[in-house]
Amino acid sequence: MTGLAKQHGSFFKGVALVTVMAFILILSMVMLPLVLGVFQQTSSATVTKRNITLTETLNSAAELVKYKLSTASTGLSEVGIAQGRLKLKSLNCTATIANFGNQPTYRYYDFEVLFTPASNNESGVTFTGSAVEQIVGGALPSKVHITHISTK
Amino acid sequence: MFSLGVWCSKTLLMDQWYNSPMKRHNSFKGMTLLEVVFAMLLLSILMTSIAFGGTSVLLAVKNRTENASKYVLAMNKAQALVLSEGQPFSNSATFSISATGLITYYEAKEESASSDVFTLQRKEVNLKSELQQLGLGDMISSTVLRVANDPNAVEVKLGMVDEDGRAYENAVFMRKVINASPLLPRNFSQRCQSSFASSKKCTVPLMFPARGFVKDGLVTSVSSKGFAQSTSTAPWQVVDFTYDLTATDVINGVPVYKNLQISTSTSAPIQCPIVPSMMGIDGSVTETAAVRVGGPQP
Repeated sequence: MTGLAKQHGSFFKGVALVTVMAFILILSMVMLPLVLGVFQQTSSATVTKRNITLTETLNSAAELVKYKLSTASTGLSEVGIAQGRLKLKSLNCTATIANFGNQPTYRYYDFEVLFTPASNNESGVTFTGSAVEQIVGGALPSKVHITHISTK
Repeated sequence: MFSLGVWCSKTLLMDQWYNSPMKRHNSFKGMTLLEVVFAMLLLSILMTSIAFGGTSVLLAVKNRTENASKYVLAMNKAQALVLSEGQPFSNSATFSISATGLITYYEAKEESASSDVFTLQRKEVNLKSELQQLGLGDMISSTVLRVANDPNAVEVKLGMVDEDGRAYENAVFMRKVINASPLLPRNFSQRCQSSFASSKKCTVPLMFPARGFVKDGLVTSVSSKGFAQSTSTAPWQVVDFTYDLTATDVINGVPVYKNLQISTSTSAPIQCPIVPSMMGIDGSVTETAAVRVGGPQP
């Protein structure tokens, strides 16, 4: 009787193990599409986030150049924004048109702005473009026209 | 529940079975057969409810996640589609939105690396059609709006409703970054020096087309005074200049002018016309500018 009970016990133990394994298998099959879906969502969200970041930093880069030229600021060439850091890498005056007092009326610039994302997993982007500064004179700030901007 | 069942069966039926003078019923490990049957019945009810409840919860989670995956992915795809149009749109000189949501814009492209005059390429963004091509046309609706307090921005509203009636909404912005101002080209002085000397007239292409001179409204011709000198040390003389906008084109249904022609009353080697304020195709305005032609350059 004791031996029979032992035999039954070991048999049920085996069944229990198989049941648990089958349950795990079924669960994993159910979970697999869910996990794949979550992965797809994550990668899709990453792409969208990067596009949004690029669009927003492009605007910010243009604003940084405008600020730099219109205020004739010598110091500020790097700013921190939510998405990372923007650095005015170069701002080269390529031509000038003067007025009758030999003072500049128009200055033409080519610029480069380097964007370093806050996240270490993303690579930086360089924006290049051109701008024209119209010197209004007096105490008024210069009027800056961004004529072109794009990613390098 | 199982314990409750056993307790009930014992309490209620004890007298009937244990105190009965009749022969005791068969038992299984200390429980009467009826107790076991009753316990099994309760257990089966419990297990059934757990099985159905658990399955329904699992199914709900599965459906929710699959739906989320389906609809969120669709929304992400639509959002990425709109954003992908953002880069060329940031270089648009001007744009318009039709009643059906068609965005027409003119992307500014440099003619060459040495030239700073831009050609405008007409482009269209038909988001409804592009969503249709991606297979999202029936799922996602899009509305294109001009942002009220920002004339350079476009808002694209995306929306959809899933099978359960849950609404997914999103808004994506596209912004025009450049200023399409009718500026003089950087080699303006070099271009006009010999022209003024030979024909008292100079025509230069504007970096972006102009809608007109800003003078009591928009006009295409303005006369005003400027200065001229015979040598760089001679005193400046007041002379007459006439400014005309030429090379007509039509952009977004509005006549625009690609060239500026300056006529002068003198052929002096050094001249300083004062170019009137001009309005660009995107509404940006240049300031009146005194620009010297000839003489020492800064």
